[in-house]
Amino acid sequence: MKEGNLLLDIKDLHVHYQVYGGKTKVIDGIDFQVEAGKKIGLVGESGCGKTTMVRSVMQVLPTQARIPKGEVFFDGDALLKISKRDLNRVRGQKMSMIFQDPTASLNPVFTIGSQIEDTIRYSGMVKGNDKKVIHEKAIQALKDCSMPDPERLLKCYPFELSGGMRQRVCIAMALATASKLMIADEPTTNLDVTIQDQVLRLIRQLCEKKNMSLILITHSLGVARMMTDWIYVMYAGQIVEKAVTSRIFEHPYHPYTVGLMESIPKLTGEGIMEGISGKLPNYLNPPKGCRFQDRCKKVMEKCRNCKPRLFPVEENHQVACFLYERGRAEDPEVSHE
Amino acid sequence: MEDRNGNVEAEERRKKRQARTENLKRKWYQFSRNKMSVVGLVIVVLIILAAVFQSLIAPYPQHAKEYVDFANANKAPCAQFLLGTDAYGRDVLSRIIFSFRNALMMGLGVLCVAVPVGVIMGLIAGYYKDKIGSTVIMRVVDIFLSLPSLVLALAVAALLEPNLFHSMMALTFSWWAWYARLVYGKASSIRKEYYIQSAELIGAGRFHILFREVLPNCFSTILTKMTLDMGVVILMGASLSFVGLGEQPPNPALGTMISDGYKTLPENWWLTLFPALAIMLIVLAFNLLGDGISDMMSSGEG
Amino acid sequence: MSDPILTVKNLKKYFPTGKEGKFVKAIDDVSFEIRENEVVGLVGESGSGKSTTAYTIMGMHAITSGAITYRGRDLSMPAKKRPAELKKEIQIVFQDPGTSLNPQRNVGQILQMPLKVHHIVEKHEWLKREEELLRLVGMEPDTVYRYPKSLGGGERQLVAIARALATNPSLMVLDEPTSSLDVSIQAKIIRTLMDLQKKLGMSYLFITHDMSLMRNIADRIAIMYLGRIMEMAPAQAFFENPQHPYTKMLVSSIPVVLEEEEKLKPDRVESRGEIPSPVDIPPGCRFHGRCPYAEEICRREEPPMREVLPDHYVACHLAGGKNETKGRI
Repeated sequence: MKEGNLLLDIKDLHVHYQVYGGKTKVIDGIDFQVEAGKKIGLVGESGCGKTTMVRSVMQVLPTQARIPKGEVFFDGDALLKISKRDLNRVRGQKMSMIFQDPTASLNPVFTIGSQIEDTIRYSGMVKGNDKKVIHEKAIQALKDCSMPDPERLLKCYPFELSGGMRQRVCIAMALATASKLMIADEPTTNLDVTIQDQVLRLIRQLCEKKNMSLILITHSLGVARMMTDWIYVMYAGQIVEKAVTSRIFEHPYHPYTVGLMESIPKLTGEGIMEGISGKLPNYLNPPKGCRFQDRCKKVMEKCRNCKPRLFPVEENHQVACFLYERGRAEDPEVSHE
Repeated sequence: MEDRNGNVEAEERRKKRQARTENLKRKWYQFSRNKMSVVGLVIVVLIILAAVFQSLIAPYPQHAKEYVDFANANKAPCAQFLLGTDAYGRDVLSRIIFSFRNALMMGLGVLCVAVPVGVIMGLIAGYYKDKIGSTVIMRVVDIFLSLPSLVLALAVAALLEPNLFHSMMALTFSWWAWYARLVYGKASSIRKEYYIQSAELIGAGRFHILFREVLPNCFSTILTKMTLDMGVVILMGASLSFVGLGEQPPNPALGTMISDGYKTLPENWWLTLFPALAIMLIVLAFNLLGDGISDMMSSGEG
Repeated sequence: MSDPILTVKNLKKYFPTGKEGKFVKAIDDVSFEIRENEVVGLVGESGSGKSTTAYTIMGMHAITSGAITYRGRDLSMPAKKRPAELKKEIQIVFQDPGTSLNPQRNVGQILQMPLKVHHIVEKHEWLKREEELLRLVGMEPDTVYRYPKSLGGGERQLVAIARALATNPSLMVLDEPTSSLDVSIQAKIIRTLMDLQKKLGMSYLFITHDMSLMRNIADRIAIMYLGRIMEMAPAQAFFENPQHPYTKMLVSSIPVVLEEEEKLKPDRVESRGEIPSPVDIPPGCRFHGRCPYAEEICRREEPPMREVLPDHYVACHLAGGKNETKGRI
């Protein structure tokens, strides 16, 4: 990636949580880049730390969390260092977040209209907070999301809408203020496939139209494949594989990615694969070396002692696994096909 | 064969014990995360110890009963009498320590009757929510809740001979309804949970479902409320004895001490201030403890 | 063709809305059968009535009209009135492993309850049987001392499966047993379930919204929409030759990971609209508002269930004959 074009640059981020029995090392040295206008997928299973990671970008971590090490640069600002005020300005005007559960992210006692208008007001993007301008912006935001009859919708309460509609309202709200980066945390997990299809198409269209970057957090490789340019696969607080989307599906390298791909039931009807045995390591005392070692079928002596960094295997494709320390030629039998 | 069984059993016990210690450790961590809960616990333990060993701790145990020493009457706090003496020359500190036992007895007595009755009523009403019986129970509960318990206690105490037992009875009479209401709410939400549904589908009996499946899940709420209520009941008891309807003189009671003391304000301020502080301390301690227990239980269930 | 183990005939389940004459028509005339040793998949979006169907079969709701028969015996009454020996034969595994196990009881106590209620084994053999059940689902026998909260989501679901197996049922209703689990864990649970089905000779009614999963495990698939079955066919025919426009819409909306899967999808029927309220079901075909092929007749007449190909039933006016050019027959 070209340095000049970077919108978000996370360097060696560590996040710890203070819990019973010590510190859990939930994020363990992550590098993550988002180019302007690109759509990035962050894929991993529950408990891998993907939500914690984007929360540390938004600086909305719970109180027990600490960031002992790492830097987050966003559009020229070092987010971990700037003042609360500047942070609010950046959050209000340049990025926004869509959450998994649209019911919980809308306040049930206020109308859709007042919530969207408040968001616009607090972002400080309308000079003098002219009520008319704000109202028009809110309507425009709903229109952008191709919602029918926005005037009426503004007067509705969240409970009057279906799940899909609520998520669309959340998207409209996120888009009303953000201009550079949208973070979508499992935006369609609670929706049916047909509605998911509609919502995902909407997010993609809007991001492309406004030339915004997107970080899509999802547990579903299928959704990531449909939506993104690049994919980061995360496991136990580390990035294990990163590649251009088409590449990762043609040829996954990391044993975890391979296992994940195999676990997904396919329409081809070849039956159900083994899955990945075992479970996530304990974050209190993660194993020395690779965090996937206990579940990995190809584990070697080295994996138990050293932490693998990302090794390039192809152009635009990096894997954090010692199998590929010297490129892919070393281990032809791993090939997926 | 027998030996093997013995081994298996020992192993079984060991595993159970291990699981239990681990569980306790975790609970303590959740409880002690808030330092104020620990403070509450310490004070409550101290008060209980004081109540149990009252005659050993109090500097002048004989002052707790009828005792007159006019030479030392109305002394301000000094080295000999740390919290001063009253009009009969009795040590205030000793009398406060001696009043703890009755205060705690009052709280325990009321809760020991009110909680089981209320919990069983609430459990039945909550689990059989759509049945007639449930409606009947809950309307009765509503009636009891609409009677202010202090007024009720005043009425009972005025009708019968005023003493500690009667005021306890009066409080119990209205107190159970709070527990019925509390457990009703909890049980009626728990009955929708899948584990209850699946017990029903398997065909488990009512007794099993009510007491083995639903009740254990209400414990945390009940325990928290009980701890908070200890403080409240003690406060009520003090109010009753303040108006002369609780523990009768010469037995020491915090309420009586205050009502005797305030007539001599502001000169003999220690007669009012220290018993009042003692009440405050008890109520505060139980409240802090209650918060801690609630923290401990809420995350323990997740 | 083997005899059905369970037959559902013209089943209706209406819930009152509180308003006079208005009902939530959760199940609106559903008929199907499950044969011996068969896995029937019931798919549909949320609000389609698939879970209500499962719960009604289990007797958790009273039936509005219709009949359920189990091996020729009437099962149309609610669970409370069913004879114990029939309760034993049908078991359910719920969707959310978080709430299907009582957090205050350990695994041993949880598994013990069905053994006790149905007198499956003598009291002194309870522990042995509990451990056997755990081994059957691939768990360590000493899990009996652990509490649900110390288990992961997948392990909890395995315990729930073990509990269902405790009464040696011949029919299991699986209500989205893996939808709240990660795929890598889902794979293990599904394999365990399918192995058990073969080993113990059970039949499954498998309810899910995951079509790709269904493709891999079901013998026959029925798709529900607004309380009615729209299409029912053997798994292969269902995916390779879908007849109903709704099936096509659903299958083409699935996000897939492989190029080969992309090729297997039917011609794209772009998803539009949302599932209407089950209180005011549209007249005619209930899908016509979202159907790109809807014609005049679809707005007027409710399509009956027709057998367009052997064992392949569709409730669509246009399927089969007229729709041939649009489908991939």
